[in-house]
Amino acid sequence: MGFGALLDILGSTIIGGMLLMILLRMNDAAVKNNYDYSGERIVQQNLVEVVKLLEYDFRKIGYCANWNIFPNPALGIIRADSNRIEFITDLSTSANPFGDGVLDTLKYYLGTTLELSVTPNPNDRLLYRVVNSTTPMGSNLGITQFKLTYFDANGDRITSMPTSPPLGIAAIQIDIAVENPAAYGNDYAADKRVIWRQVRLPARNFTLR
Amino acid sequence: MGGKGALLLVLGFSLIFMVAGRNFNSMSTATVENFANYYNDQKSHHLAASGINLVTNQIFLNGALADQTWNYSFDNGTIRVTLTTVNTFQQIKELVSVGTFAGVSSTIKVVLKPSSFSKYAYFSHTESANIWWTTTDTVWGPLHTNGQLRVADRPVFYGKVTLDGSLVKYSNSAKPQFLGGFQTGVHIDIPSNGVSNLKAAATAGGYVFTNQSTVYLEFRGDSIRYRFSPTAAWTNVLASTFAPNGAIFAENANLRIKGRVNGRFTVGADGTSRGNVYLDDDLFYNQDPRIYPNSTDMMGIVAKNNIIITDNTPNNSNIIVQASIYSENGSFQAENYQNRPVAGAIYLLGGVIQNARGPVGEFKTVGGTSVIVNGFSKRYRYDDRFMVASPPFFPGTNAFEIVSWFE
Repeated sequence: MGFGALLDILGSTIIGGMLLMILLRMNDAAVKNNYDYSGERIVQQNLVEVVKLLEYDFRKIGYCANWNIFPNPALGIIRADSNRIEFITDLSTSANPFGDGVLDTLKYYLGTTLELSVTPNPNDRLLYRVVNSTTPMGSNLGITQFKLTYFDANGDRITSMPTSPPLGIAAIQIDIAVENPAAYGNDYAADKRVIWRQVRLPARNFTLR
Repeated sequence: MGGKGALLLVLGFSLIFMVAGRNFNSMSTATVENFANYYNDQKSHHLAASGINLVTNQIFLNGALADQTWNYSFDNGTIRVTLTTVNTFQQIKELVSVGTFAGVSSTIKVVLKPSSFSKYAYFSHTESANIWWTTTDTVWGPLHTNGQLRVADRPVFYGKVTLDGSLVKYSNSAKPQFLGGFQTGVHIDIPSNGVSNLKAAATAGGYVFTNQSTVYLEFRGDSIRYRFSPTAAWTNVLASTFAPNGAIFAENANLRIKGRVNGRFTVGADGTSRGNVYLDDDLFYNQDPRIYPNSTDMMGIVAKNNIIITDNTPNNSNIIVQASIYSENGSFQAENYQNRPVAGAIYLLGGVIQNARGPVGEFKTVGGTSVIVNGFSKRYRYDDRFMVASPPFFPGTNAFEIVSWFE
């Protein structure tokens, strides 16, 4: 084996090593991208699901299929603060898609970060949806913020809420932030967060009468 | 050999890149699809809402619109709206609108009913230019005026407030509290047939007093008594047989009323120079609905002209009025409000619907506090039952209102 062959082996080792390094790096990048993309997709889907659910329920604030038993929908919001809202509605069932004519109360509130200490994300919380006085049902959709801001008919932010309805809420600003519960490399930087904001009337029923 | 190896290497890498690329593309597409589906949901919902708006507008213009189905094509979607009268007697109508876009459907259902003036805690066609709603004023039910709403400081409105005119603030510090909602651009005329419809109902199944200049009417629980002069003997009748449908009317006369109301009645009077209803003393329910929530006692007072608190001894120390009051051409006012003594307060449970706002007293300001110097102060509370029920044959607005919106 001459010097030339030695050079061939050395050269091929270096080139092969470089190719291997490139391959490993590419694999790492592919895995990271895969995680990031799929994580982003999950976050986006979670956000849309949360938004759809909130819109579905919020549209029915003050609604009752038997309108005679709840003639003043402006009394529909019972309690409201920055991360909690409780209101009167008439929930649909499969037997009664337009509601059964019996008033229900629905409550949304955000849990604490301690409840989800098992997830790698230190910021995510459970968003609870409580129907009447049933056991609170929470879902981990990676929600890190559920903030409600209320405005009166003058357009002013309500800083001091009346203790009983009507609360004088003319518009609600909903801010939601969703993060990946288990992001690649535990990277939960702000640019990985998906946010959604909507300023809405509480519901069409709310100002009907 | 080396050439084949290189070829395999390139093909291998290409395959890996293609699989990874396809995977990434698929995920990107799924993310976009996710929002596209949300967009389709929203679009179909907005189409359904548009259908409701299109047809309710027709109903508002023509309350006699027959039950039917409308089909619209709009903005690359379709809308199907069905109008059904679900209660012919009460004229309750139901609208179901289905919006479809990109295969996604959304349904909205609304219920409409004829609107009655009795639902208002306060209604006026015009507001006086020098009367302001101030901090001491609280309105507990729906309020409407076709004029301007003048506010100073922090009046509180618990019901929905609607205006045709504008909101005029006494100063920039005025902060009216609209706890039940606020809407401008709403015009509701007082119809010219409200009183005549009551008269027709009284003719058909109630009682009409004719050829008298003044009718004195006292509710006494199950019975009613009446006379035509302050010194004449009373005629006693059983209320339920006297006016079976609850409508009592004084034709071309002034009507003077008082007493304890047991049941559902609407009294009224018309006439060019008469047509006033005088409140000679307390008029109150046999069962106060604030104490007995299931009370069925309900009173309406309808006048072609004014509804007047009589200047007499019984009314010099407060007056209780439990009724919805409707003045077609005039106002709710106190007789001799500028000269009568300080008479306490008007304890009204019900609503006031009047063409123009009338005076019930005069006040002066002492040390920043308003003090009544003639007539009455006001203690008006809304009777919540009027949100869903009306005294018999109480004038309607000749329009429909939406009472329920499912979406």
